[in-house]
Amino acid sequence: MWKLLVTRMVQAIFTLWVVSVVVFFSARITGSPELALMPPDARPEDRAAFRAMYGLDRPLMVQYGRWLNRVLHGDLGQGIQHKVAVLELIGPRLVNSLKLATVGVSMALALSLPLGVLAAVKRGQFWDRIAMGIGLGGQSLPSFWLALILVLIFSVRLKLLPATGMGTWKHYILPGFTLGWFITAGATRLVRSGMLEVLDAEFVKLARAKGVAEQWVICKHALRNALISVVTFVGFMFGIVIASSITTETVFVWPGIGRLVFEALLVRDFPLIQGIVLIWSAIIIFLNLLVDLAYGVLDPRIRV
Amino acid sequence: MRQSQWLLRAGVIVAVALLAMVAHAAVPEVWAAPKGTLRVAVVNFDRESTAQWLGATPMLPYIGNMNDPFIAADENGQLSQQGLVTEWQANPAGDVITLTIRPGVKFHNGDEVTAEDIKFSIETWQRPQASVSVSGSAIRGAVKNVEVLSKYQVQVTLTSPNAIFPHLLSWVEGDIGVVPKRYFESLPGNTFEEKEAAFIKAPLGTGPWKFVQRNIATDIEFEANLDYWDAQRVPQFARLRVIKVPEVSTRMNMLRTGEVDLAVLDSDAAKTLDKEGLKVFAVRNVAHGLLVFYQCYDPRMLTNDIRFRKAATLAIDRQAIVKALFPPISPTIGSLGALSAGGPLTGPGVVGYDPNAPTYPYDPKEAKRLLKEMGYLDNPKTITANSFAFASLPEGPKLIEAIVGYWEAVGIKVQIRQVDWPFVSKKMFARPQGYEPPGEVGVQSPWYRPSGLNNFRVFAVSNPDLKTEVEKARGLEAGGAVTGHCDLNKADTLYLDALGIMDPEKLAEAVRKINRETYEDYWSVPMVSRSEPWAARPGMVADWRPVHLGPVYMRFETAVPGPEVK
Repeated sequence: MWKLLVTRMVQAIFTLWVVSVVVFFSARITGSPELALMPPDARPEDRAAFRAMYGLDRPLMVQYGRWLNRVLHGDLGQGIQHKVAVLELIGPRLVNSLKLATVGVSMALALSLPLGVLAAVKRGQFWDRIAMGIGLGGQSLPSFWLALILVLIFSVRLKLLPATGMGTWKHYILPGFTLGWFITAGATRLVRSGMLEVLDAEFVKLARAKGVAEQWVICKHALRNALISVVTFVGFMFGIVIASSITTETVFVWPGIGRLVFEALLVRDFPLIQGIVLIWSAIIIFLNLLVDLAYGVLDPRIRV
Repeated sequence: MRQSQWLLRAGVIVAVALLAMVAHAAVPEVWAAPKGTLRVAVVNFDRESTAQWLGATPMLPYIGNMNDPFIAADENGQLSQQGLVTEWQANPAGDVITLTIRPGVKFHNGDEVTAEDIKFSIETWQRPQASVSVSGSAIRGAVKNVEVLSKYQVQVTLTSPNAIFPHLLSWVEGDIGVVPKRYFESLPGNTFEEKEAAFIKAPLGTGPWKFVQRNIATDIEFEANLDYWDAQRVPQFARLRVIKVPEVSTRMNMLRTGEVDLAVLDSDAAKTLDKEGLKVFAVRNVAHGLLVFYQCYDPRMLTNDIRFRKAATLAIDRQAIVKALFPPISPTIGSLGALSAGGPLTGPGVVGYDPNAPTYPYDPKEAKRLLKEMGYLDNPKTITANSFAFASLPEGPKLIEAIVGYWEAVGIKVQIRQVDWPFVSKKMFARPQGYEPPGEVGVQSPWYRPSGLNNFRVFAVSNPDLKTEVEKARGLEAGGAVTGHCDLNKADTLYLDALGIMDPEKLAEAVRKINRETYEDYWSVPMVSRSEPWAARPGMVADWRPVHLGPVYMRFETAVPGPEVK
């Protein structure tokens, strides 16, 4: 286990370094922040002063070296648009995004597990068709459209839930559901197919032959084995949910990291873009590590 | 006797009525105690700092609420003597301007605004930290020195006569505010930067709203300044909360659910909400939509040939495009798009605007004839149309699509390239400019600048790296940015001739001359004068008076609470 952990840590550091190189140089291809932030009539000397203020007048390798050195000392620099330390900007927003992602993933699991099991057990019947419908809808409906429809129904028409912002538990429902909807679809299909595969396995047949109650067969023997692929999927999707929350956070005016990176991209706020992508990558790598470790818990053969 | 008694009574009644009318007109209206919170949704906060000099004009809806411009503008966007600076007097040569400050204006901490604060503010805007500010850029280029003449008078010496300068001290064309010198210097820290950091945490201004708190990238909150110096603009709402909501459908839904009271929209959204019973306001003539032939002064460009530019202009049915993209919102609001008479960069409210001037016709036959004459139809080359949007003209990509449709109909080959503004500006501000032959075009969105001359400077004349003959001969710099005119020597001559004229009437005539003499150059094509729609919940906002001719001087303090405000 320790060897696995150390190997994965080394791989993680290397991956983060590659990400830092890619994001640093690719962000600069599309132009400098002064092109977005300065008025058209700014004088050339003002543009030069702006670039000098943020060290953008230096060679790219020097800029990268200075940034990397600061990162290794725990400093992600200062945002160009807001003139606030990047970590100070990201911190609270990352917490907000994590909260929303947790709600989204929890809602997805709460829906997809029973639905997937039901679909497998009642194969070809009503509940199976419902589950397949959700699977199809979840993967084909754009989250942007879904979010607007949910707001129109639950906020504008029924006046049951707030359309934007955060503060109470009610604020989590619509954005959480929107974020979780895509995962619900995938997870339901995975649970269903996993369950179908396991329900036909010899050990399940044996359990039934021994007279074990059907609910126990499904929950203990079948579901536990079917969960392995779901854990991989959800672990991976948790990171994706945070990274893909741009539209959800924009529509619901949720003060999270997705909205922040979208705005940073528009004005080419390099330190902020680099900081967010680096932290995103770290989260996804960490989650993958957790998934690997969770395998061991769910499947004793992997531990061996 | 009886008759005289009646006459006496009637006289008394008339006198009382007259007195009441005079009293009502003379005494500032006494507002009821401010109540409720006005929640406003805007698209963006720009640089989002509480230190005004760190941002540009688009930051005014954010922090402008707690500040005042040097020179005010009336509701129609024209410079007004009703602001902090009550008089701006130029010497006959036009290179020294004396500013007279209104006595009795106070900062939020009670300190009075004096000439020292004005001098300190100009010096602050001259610092490199203010490099993104429109006024900062102009002040660094134009101001030689500032001298305090008395407690309420400042003398600004310019590097050369400059008729635009007073406009850059307003918020219709500039973005400067007043920094409290004494307060700033009393803040902790030894350097300007340290004091600046302290100021950002506890900002002060002279404006109708006082800063309360902000959540970066989310919202900012103010409270009413009940001691505001302009009694007519003391807020009637107790609080103001400005929220950043980039997505227009979200702003619509927030209005519907009552999560905001006032929000900026686009034309389609305004029409929908008007039908749903919300109150729609139009900020008139916010921006021009201007089709620019980039780098057309370069002989390598197809657009350098006036026959091509004329054909490209005559090929477009601009009236039909405006009608389709800007349908009337309602009988009272009308359309949010219009075509002005004359050439580019002019329109109602702009100095020298002539409503009777000719306008480019739609003549596809003549366009084809010109293209044939120049041999284009035998050997057509494909030009690139850059498609991008500005906040002040979200319809930019739709305009490009419409233009390309008309061009293809007369045989002009065009490819549309979907980009964002930094992509185009990278080419624009490269030296030399980096547009690719045989030609590139794009729809720019110059804000309405009522001085007329200022927009001509930014969009038409040569940039500092292109020295024209007239610049060399006069030892002056036109200082353009977009460099949009295709005969830069002509544009610079017209501009520099007008720049030194300080007399308003003569200046208006000079701008009229510019419009007349560049009309037949087809240097760019005016596509639309765009007004900006806002909507409010009628129960919350009964009335509101923003400044027209520009998208940023919002004056939220003029919003009148509706019956539902508690």
